[in-house]
Amino acid sequence: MQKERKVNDKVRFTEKTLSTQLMNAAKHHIESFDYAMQVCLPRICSQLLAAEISAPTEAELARNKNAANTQYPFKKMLIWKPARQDQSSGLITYSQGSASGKGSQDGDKVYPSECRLRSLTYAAPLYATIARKIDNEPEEKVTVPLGDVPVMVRSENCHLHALTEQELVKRHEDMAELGGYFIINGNERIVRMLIMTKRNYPVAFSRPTFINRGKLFTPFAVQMRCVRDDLFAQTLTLHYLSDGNCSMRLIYQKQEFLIPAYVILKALVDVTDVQIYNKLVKGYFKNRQIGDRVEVLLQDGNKLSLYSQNQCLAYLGSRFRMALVGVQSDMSDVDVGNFFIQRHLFVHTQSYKDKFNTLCIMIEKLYAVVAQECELDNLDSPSNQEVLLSGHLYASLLAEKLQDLLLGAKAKIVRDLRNPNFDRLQIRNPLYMKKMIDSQVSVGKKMEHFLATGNLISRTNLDLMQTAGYTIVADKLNNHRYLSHFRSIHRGQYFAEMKTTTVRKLLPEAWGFLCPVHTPDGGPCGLLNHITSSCIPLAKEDGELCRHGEKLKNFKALLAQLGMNPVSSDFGLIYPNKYLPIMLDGVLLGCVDPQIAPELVRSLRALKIQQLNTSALYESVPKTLEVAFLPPTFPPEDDTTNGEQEVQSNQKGHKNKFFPGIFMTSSVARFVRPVQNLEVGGVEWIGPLEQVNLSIACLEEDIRTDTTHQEIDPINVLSMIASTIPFADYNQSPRNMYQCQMAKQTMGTPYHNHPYRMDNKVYRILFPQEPLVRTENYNNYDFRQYPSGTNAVVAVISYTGYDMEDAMIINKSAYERGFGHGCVYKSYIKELNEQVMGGSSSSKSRYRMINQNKYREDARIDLAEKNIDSDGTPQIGLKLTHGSPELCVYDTVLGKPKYMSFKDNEPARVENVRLMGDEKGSANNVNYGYTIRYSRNPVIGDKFSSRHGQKGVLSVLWPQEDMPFTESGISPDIIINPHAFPSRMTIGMLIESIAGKSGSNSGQFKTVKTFEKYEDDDVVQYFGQELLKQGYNYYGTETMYSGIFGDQMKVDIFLGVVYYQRLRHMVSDKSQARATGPYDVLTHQPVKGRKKQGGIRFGEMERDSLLAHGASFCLNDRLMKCSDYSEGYVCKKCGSIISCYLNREILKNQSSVGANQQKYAVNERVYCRVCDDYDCRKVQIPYVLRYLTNELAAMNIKLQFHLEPAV
Amino acid sequence: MYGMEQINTATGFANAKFGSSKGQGAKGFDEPEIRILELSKYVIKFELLNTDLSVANSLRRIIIAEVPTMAIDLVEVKENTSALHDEFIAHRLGLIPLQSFNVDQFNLSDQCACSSMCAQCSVQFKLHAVCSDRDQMEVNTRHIQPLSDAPIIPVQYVNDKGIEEDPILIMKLSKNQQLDMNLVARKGNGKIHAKWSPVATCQMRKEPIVEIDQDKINRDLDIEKRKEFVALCPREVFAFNDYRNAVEIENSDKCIQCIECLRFAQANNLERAVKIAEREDKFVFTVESTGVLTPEDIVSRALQILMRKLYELGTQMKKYGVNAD
Repeated sequence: MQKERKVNDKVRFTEKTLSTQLMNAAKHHIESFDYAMQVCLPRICSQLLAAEISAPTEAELARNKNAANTQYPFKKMLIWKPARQDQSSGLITYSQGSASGKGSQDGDKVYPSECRLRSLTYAAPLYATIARKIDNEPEEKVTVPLGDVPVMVRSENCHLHALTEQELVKRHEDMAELGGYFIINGNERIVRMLIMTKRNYPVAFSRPTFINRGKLFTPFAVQMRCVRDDLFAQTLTLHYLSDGNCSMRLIYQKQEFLIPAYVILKALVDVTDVQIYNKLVKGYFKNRQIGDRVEVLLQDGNKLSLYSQNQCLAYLGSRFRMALVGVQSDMSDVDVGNFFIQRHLFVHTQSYKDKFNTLCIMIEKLYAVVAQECELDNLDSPSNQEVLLSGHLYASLLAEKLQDLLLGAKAKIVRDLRNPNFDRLQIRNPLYMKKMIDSQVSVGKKMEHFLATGNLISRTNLDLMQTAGYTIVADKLNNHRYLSHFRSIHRGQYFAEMKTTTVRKLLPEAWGFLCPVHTPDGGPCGLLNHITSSCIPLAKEDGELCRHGEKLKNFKALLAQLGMNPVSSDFGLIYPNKYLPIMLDGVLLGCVDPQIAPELVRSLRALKIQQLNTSALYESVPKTLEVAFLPPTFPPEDDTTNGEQEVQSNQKGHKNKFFPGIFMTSSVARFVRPVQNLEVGGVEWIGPLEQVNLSIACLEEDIRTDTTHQEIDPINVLSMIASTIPFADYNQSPRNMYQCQMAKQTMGTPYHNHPYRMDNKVYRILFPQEPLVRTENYNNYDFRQYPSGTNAVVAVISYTGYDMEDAMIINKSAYERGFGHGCVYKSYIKELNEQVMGGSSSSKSRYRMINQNKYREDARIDLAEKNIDSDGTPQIGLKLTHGSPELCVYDTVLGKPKYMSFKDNEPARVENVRLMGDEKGSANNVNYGYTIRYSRNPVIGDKFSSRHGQKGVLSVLWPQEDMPFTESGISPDIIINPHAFPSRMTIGMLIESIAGKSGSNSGQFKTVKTFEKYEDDDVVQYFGQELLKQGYNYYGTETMYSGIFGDQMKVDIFLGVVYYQRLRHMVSDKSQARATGPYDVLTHQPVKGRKKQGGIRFGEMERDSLLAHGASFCLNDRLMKCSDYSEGYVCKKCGSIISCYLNREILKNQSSVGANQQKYAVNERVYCRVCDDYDCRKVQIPYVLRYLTNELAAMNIKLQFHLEPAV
Repeated sequence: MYGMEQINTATGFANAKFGSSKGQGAKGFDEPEIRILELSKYVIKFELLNTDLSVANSLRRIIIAEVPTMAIDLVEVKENTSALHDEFIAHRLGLIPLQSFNVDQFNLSDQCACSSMCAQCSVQFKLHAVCSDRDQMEVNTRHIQPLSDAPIIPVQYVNDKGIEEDPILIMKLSKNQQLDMNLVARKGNGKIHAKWSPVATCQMRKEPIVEIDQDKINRDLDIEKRKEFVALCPREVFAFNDYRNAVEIENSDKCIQCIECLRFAQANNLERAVKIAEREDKFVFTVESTGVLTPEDIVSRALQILMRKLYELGTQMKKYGVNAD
């Protein structure tokens, strides 16, 4: 490597290492996977329900009191790195299964490049250590394999983890291999980020449809998506009922349950009704409604005759006993109630007290919203949202699949136990347990299926809204497209079908987190967004959690120091109503006086930024803690004021924007982004909820007296692609959106490791250039390593007429020198030894591959003549045209070679041929993979675009001598029409043109910055002066001479250098024409589809226009003659076209008599079966009409045709 | 830079005549004349006088597109284990300039008597390169070996001091890669493909005329404005005389007709003080050769082609009874 560099020193390419910003583009995916594997998996293990098996039948129990009560909890999960599967996957003990025990050789390692080439899944074996406990005997641990689970590339379970660029290249990877995706059957698949409701935060909203949920239901509800540390989620919705009561709704295993709030309150904590009343009302009697509502809520106890905690628990238990998975028959109702509360109510916290407080906050918020004391939250606003990351989804699905596995094994054991012939002692045998686990569908296969299809097959749906569309293929068309996959974030499939467009709106809360420019137009507009270049979705917890153990204690102490009144365990202690709740991750920590609150938040912010380690208390504040201080806009007045007034003022609309409080979040899957804190100094990571209440200046000049923060760089609001548009701030905004789309459709440089990849379709341009004018972020993301265009000299003239309507003229000489040259690679895999259609297993090996001796022995085989190598595969570089042989296999049955021919109409060349074993690596089943290369140099009709949403089609290759030329002899590479500018207002392209011109004259790349301030705020002045110095016109215009006549054109022609991209839409992929071709069997109409040589539909509207023109012969030609023209007979008597046929009897009789030549013409008669008559006439009908008549006849409907003489 | 006399004798196109023998064309031109202004190994700059725009432009078009040269046209790949694919290399090989001084002794391949290829219409080369002992090697035009003794070889560039420059890089091979190709060069012209075009640029312009009414400008404009007027021109056509505090024309040849000065004059109510025009009968050419032919050779060949064309046109017109004059 080092030596190579020496030789290479002229080439800058290998000199520089890639930028960290590029390497971090997909980091959140990798981190989330690592988090799932290292942090979540142990948590999942501890949370999974153990499979408990007691004696199978009552009778047995009666007979034998000591029936085995066996428990199977998961103890430990272990994922290896991907390796070859030749080692016996037998039962291994724990010691063997440990990391040191695997000691696999380097040759056993399976690298991602091999998976891509061989169409394998990049997966690693998952081992589970299952402990078995029988009654009170000591635990016995066994480790069982659970199949291969797909592993994310470049995660810690991947061989490529932490490799340097050189090492990556040695492993046949691109030097900028980002990872962050899975390889499933050779395809790279990404789990796309998904927007979720912010976890552990009560959101209030109203949905008119809630009224239909039942009696008394109103549109109002408060919802909380509770997420446990192992990412198990359970959404709880608290509905407001019109009588003032609240009802809790939760969905468990796709079933809905409604529980009165009172029952939950009482079941959680042993309190009296008075205590609940005080807790909720807080002595706030001015607004009588709240008191009344709480009273209604408390009446539920009487209605249901529930008075104590145990009664409530038993009530819950009895209702949920049947529905809950994991309930043992020997559990009491109270036990079941506790089980339910622990596993499904407010799962983000373990303590009942915390659950109780959280529910109280929800009820308070609900009542506040209903009383119009605060506004509703917007679920579409990013401030109430978070993100579902690939690793996190992976972990929660894995958790469910593991649980299913245990449950399935348990069911199997129970079934065995019922079998009277079953040897019950077997249950103690470790092999038996392994057998039970093995009999389940492998967890690995299930995970693979999920990633391969994106379909979530789940018992519980994991508290998610959609069941499909989670994964997408990481399309490596070019680096822009590839990278943006990792940074795209979808709102959810559910919203795509919604008719309202409110969800698609760009909200001000998205500022700095979601790019306002980079969203597709059309169907997914506004639903598929991209995160900005500065936004980071937190994939893992920031150091140690501050919501657990010692840290939490310190954190609480810190808050108490800053003025918080901690939550007491005494329910008698009630803080005043105006006090603001302080919540951390959905758990109430205490209350604070609204007067002190701002100072508390300020101190907390300072600690968050400074990260002092002088005291354990200070250390407890994580760097990315979101401190959302939602201040009361109109704090409730003191008790002394008149309550009536308060109510009135509320009606006037004086209400809080938010439910006031300090809501802190330390959990994963949030967005954070850096801004400058002006008060403390330093960079602060802020979240979307706290951003809403911060005063953040965008530029220096925006700073006001109350400003606390400033943007680090205004470009941070743009996504990776949007920030690579030069002078985007001078363009009309939709043009930038179009460019974001088009950058992703550009032919470019997808990767540099071409021989080691077998992507289905790859586009590549052959003479790519770095853009002369690029933005700072273009450099930051190292897009120059993957260029996707050419700097072209562009003249804006209407020259030949060939540049009308967005067409563009390309200089023929420029084209011949390589402008826009490109090629397309396509790869295929063929199975060689199993090419028998529907054959039995014995005939499978009928076609055998490549027996060189056979070929040599058999004189009939002349491979050289067919241009095939001696092993039966085509030579590399061979030109393939339609019908030319591309492969030779040997037919063992017939004993002769079988040639397979190239099917495509477009000629191609063989780029690469490889032979490989099948998935299992068996040499018997040889797969043949080959890549072919289509040369795709620009032809008329190919699409090009500048970087400003100005796309155009190549209309003619114009000879250089006919092109206009300037005084210095330059003729443009591209001519575009001036009409492209006035309506589209892409001023950025004009500025790029003069900047490019100036850069090409001075020989330097122009690095510009979106939103950059130029002198006097005039970018034209800046580049105009440069041009003037270089001896060009200030405005970039030049005098040109006609290439045809040689005379000067008396106009200023705008001439400059613009970076042009070639888009992947090419005519040769789309051109479709046929004179004749295949017809449909049933209708006799031409088939459709370009692949099948089909026709283009001449539809209703086309028919209408021909009718309007009166072009009836043309119409007849299109719809009849060129389609399903047929001749048939109609019986004049009965009018049927299906009962007539040519009577051959007669023909025979006639032919024996008449002369040979006359026998057909004269004596042809058509007979009607129905009428028993020969009175039939020949008609020209579309064939489908006959088909229709037949179909109708089958339904007992007769079609009659009455004939009239033609006029 | 050579003297004019020398060149005339060397290449023999002094006083090149066009169709008309009467001495004066329809527009009343004198005998057309070429005056060489500059000549170096790769660039010629000359004036074409006393002729019409159409003739000058025809000359320009012929120089670009119709002067025949030799270029590699057919590549037979025997072995290519490099990272680049066959067509890509073939395209690059085609663009290599070949010394075409003897291009006249070859036929265009479609006009040649042979069936496919012969010594009359093609020149064969061999390109063989193996990288066996190094980590990386460069394949350049020196690796192209002619198989015949025809003097058609890749151009070897020489810089101003007469020192040979690096050969053109074709591609790089890394260890254990090799390249083995047979190349066939053929005759062609720029119309068929840009690789046969003998020039990098051929620039043609009418000589500009710049006139200013110094009195008016120096009277009506204050000094600041005068300086502004001078700075306005991107090509420094005007100069500011510090002694006289006046605008002067310094180099009217440099004018690119951007008419910034005219606009400025109009804006300051000096409509008639600045005049920009161009001479109708004088054309300045700059021809930059790619090295396949000497620049003066390109021009003389172009003139011959133009003469032949005009001659043919004349005979055809006479045939149909049209007066060729």
